[in-house]
Amino acid sequence: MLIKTKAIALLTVLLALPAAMPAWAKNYQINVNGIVCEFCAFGIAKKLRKLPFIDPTQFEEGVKVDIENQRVYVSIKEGGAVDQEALFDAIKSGGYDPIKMQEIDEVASPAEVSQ
Amino acid sequence: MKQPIGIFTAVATVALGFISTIASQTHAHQPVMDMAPRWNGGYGVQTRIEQANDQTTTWVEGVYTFKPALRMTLKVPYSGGEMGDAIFAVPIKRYKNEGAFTSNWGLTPSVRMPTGGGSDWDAGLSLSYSAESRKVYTLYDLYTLGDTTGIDINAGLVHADGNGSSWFTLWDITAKDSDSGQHVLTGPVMVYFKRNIIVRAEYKFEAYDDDTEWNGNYLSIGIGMVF
Repeated sequence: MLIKTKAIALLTVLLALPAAMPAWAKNYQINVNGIVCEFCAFGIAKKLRKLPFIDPTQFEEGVKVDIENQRVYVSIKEGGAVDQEALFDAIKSGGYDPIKMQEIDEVASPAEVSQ
Repeated sequence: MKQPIGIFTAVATVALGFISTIASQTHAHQPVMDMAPRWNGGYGVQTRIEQANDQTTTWVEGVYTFKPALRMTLKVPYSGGEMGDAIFAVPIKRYKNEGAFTSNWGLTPSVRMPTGGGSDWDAGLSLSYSAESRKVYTLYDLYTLGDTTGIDINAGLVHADGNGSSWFTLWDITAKDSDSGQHVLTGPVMVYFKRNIIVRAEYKFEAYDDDTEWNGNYLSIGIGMVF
């Protein structure tokens, strides 16, 4: 009987946990000069996705390129430490120039940014 | 103190010297793919079917990018089941990125090898400028290969859907001068991208023909992939 009670209590706690804890959503926006062509930007996304701290379960395998507004969005793995130098190096090796990076709450659609 | 020689100057000097010593009867120019792969370690392949001078030629082309500023390309033609003269080139590019605009200057030394059974080696050099914004694309390519000198201009509109694919609707003007005369071709070019796949179709008609070795219009359809 005691075991059953403990099991129910544990289950209850486990079920309640996801609701009680905020979901991990650490996204960054990187402004990139010159990124106007998705075909040309294909390599940037490919290189960024290889970085170990990128979370491939978020949006487009962890990397989203917005050529409308010359932005790249990356999602960081839970508990992962973001490495700005590695991100910028990946973009530079793709032939583009990163300008600045900032943490954001949500990834905006290109249309929302343009408004 | 001895000044270092820039790579552009060094390559141009070598290539121009090579050109002056070698003659050719046919023509072709670089680059294989102007836009991609632009990233370190990127590579691509494409095949094109070209109809010109009552002859069908299939081109098998490859590109490897060491870094954005340096690529190498190889173009191998096949016609009537036989291999023609392959062209090896080394596009050197200098990119400039500003906001929603990117451009590059390219200098491309090339060599045409006698893989088609002849014995002549031909050298070439191309100077190109390409610029692209969200809506407009342009490419200017001034080149020489063997006895041929030409200019190729592509200009037109870009239509991106924001989901990884784009249409380019361009107009092409190609003018060539060689030992056999001069001709000018012009016509539409359609380019479609989807992720890492490119499809290109172009049709050019004769706008001017005073060339004893040129006859009729030009059609090219190709598909390529980059990785």
